[in-house]
Amino acid sequence: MKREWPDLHPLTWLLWLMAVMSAISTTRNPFYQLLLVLGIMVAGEAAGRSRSWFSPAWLGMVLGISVLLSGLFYRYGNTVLIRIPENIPLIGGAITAEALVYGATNGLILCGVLVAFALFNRKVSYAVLLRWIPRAFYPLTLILSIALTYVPVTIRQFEQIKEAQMVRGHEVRRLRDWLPLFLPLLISGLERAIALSEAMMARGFVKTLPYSRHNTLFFGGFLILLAGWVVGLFPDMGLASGLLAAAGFAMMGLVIWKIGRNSQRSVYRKLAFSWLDIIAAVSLAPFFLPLILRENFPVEMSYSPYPQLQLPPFNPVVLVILMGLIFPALCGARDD
Amino acid sequence: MIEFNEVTFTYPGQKQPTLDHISFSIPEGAFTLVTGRSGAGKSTLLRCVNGLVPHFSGGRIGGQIFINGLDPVQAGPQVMSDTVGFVFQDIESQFVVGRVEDEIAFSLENAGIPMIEMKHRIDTVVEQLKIGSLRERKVETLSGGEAQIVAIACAMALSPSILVLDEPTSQLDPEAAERLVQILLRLNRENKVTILLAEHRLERIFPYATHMIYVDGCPGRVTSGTPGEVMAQAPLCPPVVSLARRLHWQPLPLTVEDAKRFAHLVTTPQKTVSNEPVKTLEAFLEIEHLKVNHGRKEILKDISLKINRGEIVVLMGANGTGKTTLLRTIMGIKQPEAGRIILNGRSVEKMTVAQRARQMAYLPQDPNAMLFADRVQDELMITMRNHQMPFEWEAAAALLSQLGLSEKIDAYPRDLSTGERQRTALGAVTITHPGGLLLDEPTRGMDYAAKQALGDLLKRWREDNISILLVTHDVEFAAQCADRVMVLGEGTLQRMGEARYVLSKEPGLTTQVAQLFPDRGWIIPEDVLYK
Repeated sequence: MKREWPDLHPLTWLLWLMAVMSAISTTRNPFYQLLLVLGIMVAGEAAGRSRSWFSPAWLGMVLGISVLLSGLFYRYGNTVLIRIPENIPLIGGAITAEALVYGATNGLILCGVLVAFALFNRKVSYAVLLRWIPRAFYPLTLILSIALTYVPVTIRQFEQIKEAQMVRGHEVRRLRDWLPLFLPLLISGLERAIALSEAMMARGFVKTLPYSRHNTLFFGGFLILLAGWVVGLFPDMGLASGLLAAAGFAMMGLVIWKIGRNSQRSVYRKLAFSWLDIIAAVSLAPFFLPLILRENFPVEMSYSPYPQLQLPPFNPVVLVILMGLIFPALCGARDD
Repeated sequence: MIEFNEVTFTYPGQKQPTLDHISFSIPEGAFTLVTGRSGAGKSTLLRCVNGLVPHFSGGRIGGQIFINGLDPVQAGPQVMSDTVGFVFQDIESQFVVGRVEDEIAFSLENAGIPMIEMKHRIDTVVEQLKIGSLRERKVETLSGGEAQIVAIACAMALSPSILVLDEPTSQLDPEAAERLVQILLRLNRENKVTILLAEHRLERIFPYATHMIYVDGCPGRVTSGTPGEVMAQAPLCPPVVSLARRLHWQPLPLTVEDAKRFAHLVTTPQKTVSNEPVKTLEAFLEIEHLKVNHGRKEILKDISLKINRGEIVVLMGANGTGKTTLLRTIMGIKQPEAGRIILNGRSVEKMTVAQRARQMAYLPQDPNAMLFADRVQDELMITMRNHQMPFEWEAAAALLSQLGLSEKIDAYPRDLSTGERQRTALGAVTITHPGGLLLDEPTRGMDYAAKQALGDLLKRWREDNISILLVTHDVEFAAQCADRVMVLGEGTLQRMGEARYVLSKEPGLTTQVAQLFPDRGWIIPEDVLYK
């Protein structure tokens, strides 16, 4: 069922992603990492089931591989679980509980990153994000947009080509056997690019190039910025360096703004912030504390299983703070 | 008003003009059908209307074109986009931003239309085409029919007075094609939009067309006028027109409805000459209780069928009912959940795709996915090399001759027309001389002559005891060559029987001749004409 309140602004989702990344990079405590992954999974389930989502089995596999690799290749730690004969190359030696916990922590971090990006990708379309690029860079934005639109089409086409070549008896045995798969893909891609540019032309798309005066001014701004950096290399020239750099930045920004103003294009989707965005932003604020506190951060956030395995510390307050990450996903419309 | 005056156009690097001194005029509000042989220049002519030719294509153009008083050669496609909306043949390639509503907005954003006006225009187009439910959908999730309608919505966003469409129904099943034609008719009648539409299946458009242009490829000329005037001379025509011509019915009827007033003239019960029943009952392909899923969705529920040696069986059904899935499962590209497939007396369970392909060739829908060699003959050689079989030039030359490609052996396959590319791909999969053949929509984009040639070829192969399972939406083509017809729906075979029976009784699948002479078992003109 669709909720009555508005969905969150894409920038709020961007903030959410940054908060998750900040949280993931702050702690190596496996309890907290596990809570993070579970929290994002819950948030993903709350966001709807219309699109594919990481299954627990898939995440379990990532975790398992990480534990296995760490167990087989890290030889540190006091708690020896099993010994593989030394004469077996690469993996011979002691498998320690510490190495397994270390691998599990790495696996949880990887799972956290994967599910966070998957949820972000589900909630915010790239097209919406691209709208935030200044209008002066519209052709670049469009190229990015088209390139991203082509990804699923190209994947589908590759599958079709693979099947078409399979029924001709084609099998991939050597490097050169990839040629019958990539050559039609390349040719079809070029043909599609031509068809698309023709369609865009028929729909009134005009490639607008900035005036050469703008190019000169932008380059001038860049030179001033560069001069600011060079001046900064000399002692006691900090103020002059800062002023020059600021002037260069301002000049470049002004040119970008001016080019955008000259663009005749209009924008259909103008997104606005709502009260929900403010609440979400507040709930995410604690996750940026590590950036401010730096080395003064609570010691319990860090954890290392070496040299002797111990139970990681756990603070219930952290659990409450982590709930803030689930809040944005509970807001807004479900996608099913 | 569309006016062409002595227009000549030659593509860069070509000596012969594609359009040679063509002149015609189409009044405002007309519903115009453009037809002609594949590769005759229909798409070129359509692209002249909005200036894509010569602005995008390059090349030399002469003569004068006026579109509502504008000269597209002078104005260019960007300016013409206000006046002419264009829907291309390959729908997938013309979407830019990915979401339906944003796609419709794209042209408006380019034109700098203010947001409030843009919203109003989008609402109007969405309402006109009744696509409110698609607004928030991603274009990649749309069905073929939905994508076509969205492409029309994109073209109509700038409220052009002319809408040009290049073979918009070629990839649609009959039901979706009819829905699309009805939408175009509504735009034409209620919104006074001039429609210019290229199409091979004339029977779909004749009931509604007020004007017609026939593009004759050889000299690059056109014939224009009312459909009746043009069809009196055009060499390519649908079955009912072909029958009417041969029986000298005047004035020439173009539709089944028109022809019904002549039907009583054919009174003598005539012997049926449609495909004779299959002579042998020795099975080449047997499928027993086949179940195929796509993820958790059941695509094929319980399919059992048998195809005998020397038999052509046509598989029909709406888009998305699992016809292609069935062919892919037979080939081993898709794995079944349950059931058994027996090919040439042996279970295929342990056979690889290549082993199956040696016995049962498979031609997928898109021949472009297959073709990558520099020359037509090389495509055949590559297949033989893949199968580690010796390549014999004489055998390849004989096959290419059968396929009507003797003149094209050294041509670059992707430069060929749709029909020729399809036949090249057919050559590439049948060079191993398999005992059976699976064809998926082989007539897409083919004109009547190319379809006739393909039908004749399949019948010749049937004489050589080759078994053929063919998927198509084209009932007239099915009638031309099928021994039996099967109809797939909701994951099961809903109808199965002799072609003559199914194609004269099954609603939505009856041929023009069967509609004209119901209850007589006639499905092709030859059934009526045989004496």
